[in-house]
Formats: sequence, structure tokens, C-alpha cells
Amino acid sequence: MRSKIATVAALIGVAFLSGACATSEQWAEWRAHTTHFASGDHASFSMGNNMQGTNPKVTRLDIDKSRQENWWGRTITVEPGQVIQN
Amino acid sequence: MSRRPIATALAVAIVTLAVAFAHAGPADYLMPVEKHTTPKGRALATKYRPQLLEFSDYVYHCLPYVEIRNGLGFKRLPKETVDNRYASVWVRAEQAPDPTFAAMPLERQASAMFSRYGVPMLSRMAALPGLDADPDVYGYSVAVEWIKPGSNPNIATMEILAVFADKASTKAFLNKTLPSADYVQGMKLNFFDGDKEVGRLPIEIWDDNFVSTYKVPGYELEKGKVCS
Repeated sequence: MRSKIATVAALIGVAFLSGACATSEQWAEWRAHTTHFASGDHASFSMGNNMQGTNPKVTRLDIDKSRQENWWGRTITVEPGQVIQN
Repeated sequence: MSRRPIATALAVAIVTLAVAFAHAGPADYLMPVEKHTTPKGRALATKYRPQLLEFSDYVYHCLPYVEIRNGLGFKRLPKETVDNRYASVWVRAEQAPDPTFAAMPLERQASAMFSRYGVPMLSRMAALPGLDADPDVYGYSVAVEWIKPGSNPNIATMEILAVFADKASTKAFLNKTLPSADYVQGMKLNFFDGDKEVGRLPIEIWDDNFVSTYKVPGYELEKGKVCS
């Protein structure tokens, strides 16, 4: 009985993680085609959030995961202390 | 070795990871109290933690295209010896390359980014209960960063506009009793291009309701959260 519970728990965990990865890919796709820009009005914003005619749902958790994967890689920037002091 | 302990350990590890992952959230974007370098800073961070959490929660859930960087807290101007504390937020605005934006002169880009993201942050911070009446809070600070147009996508160059303004002028600006040009003139402002400090830019502020009206297509707000 305990073995079955452990197996079910493992399967749930795997399903959770693989589901998160799939959604993360969708988020990646969404973001890759996102056009935000800081001028003009909203009508000109084009959000390429379409996968095979459907709108994928993106949760805040998906966004966290994508950021953890460090999309932009390394950045050239100043030390935070040059901008603001703690 | 039995398979049962392995399966159990695997399940525990996976569930632990999942729980840890799920718990990362708005509180992680607050600068820890102990990282504030003076007693005044630490006292403010402790006193206003609920307000900062509320602010972080709003940005986290309602503005998913904005990420708080380097800790929300009570900070001060670099190199300033006096301990004037500003309620401070630093945000990264995530946006894809856009030729319209790239074609604008630098000061227009900075103006656009500040008008779009900086002003709503200022407005939200200035509305946090208690701050306006607290003499230990000197003012508000917002830093907005974005990827420099045309920069190497593998090693992006970040551009940062940081502003510091006192409470009275911020309040007057937000109430529209102080012209934006006068507000800009009175604020301390610094622009950074990658790893170089550029200095002051002649920015303008104009109305931009993007943050208050834009909804990310397909974005599912967490149950129980309300954005207003």
C-alpha cells in the first residue's frame, strides 16, 4: 500500500514538473513574439500569443520559471551601488 | 536495494522542489532589513514591511512584464553622506526589440520608459499608507531598466534611468499642481548605458496609461488576487 502511495506521489510530482516545463515553453514562445515598446498607443501593441489558433494560458509561476532559466543570459550593466545605495 | 525507498525519496524530493518553487514570490523582492546600511533604513524597512509587501504583490501579480530588481526598500543616493531615505523600487521592463523605440533619440527613449513605468511606480509608492506623513521618509526613488536597442542578444546591454525626488514635489506632480517639467528639474536623475554612467538626461514626462490598462493576453491572475 505504501509503495503504491509513493509511486502515485512520484507520478504526480513528475506530471507537475513536466507540465510546468511545457507551459514554460509556451511562455517562451509568447515572449519571443511579444512586442512591447515604450511609445505610441496601445492599439499598436502586438502580442503574438497565438499557438495553432489557441491562446495559451500563462501563469505567474510560468513567468518565474522562465526568468530562472535566465533568458537574457549575462548583461552589461553597472553595479547596483552606482545607481542607488543601500 | 528495494525500489520502495527510492520511489519514496524521489517523491519527497520532487514534492519538496515543487513546494519551494511555488513559494517564491512577492516577499523575495523586498530588500532584507539587515541589508539597509543605517539604523534609519532598517527601522523604515521593518515599519513598512506590510506596505512594501503589498506593493511587491501588486507588481508581481498585476504587472508580469515588470520585474523588481535589487530589492524593494528604503535607500539613498549614491555617495550621499546624509542619511536621506527614499522609498525605492528598481524595475526591469521586459520588452522585445522594436524599431520604433530604437529609432527614438536616447532622451526620448528614457522619457518614454519613465512615463510608462516610472510614473506608475511613483504613484503607487506615494499612495502607500504612512509614508507621506513620516518625516524619516525623505522621498521616492524609481529606477527603470531595459535592454538597450540593438545590443547583443547574448550579452544584453542594460540601460537604466534612476530618479530621486522629495515627497512634496512628488505629491504635487501626481496631483497635477506641479508641472512635469518643474518636477523633472527638481529631481536628481542619472542615466546609465551598460557599464557607463552617462549622467543627467533632459527627459520629459507625458501621460501614459499603459500600466493601468494593458492586459497580457492569456495571463491568468492567481485566484483571489485583484488588480486595481
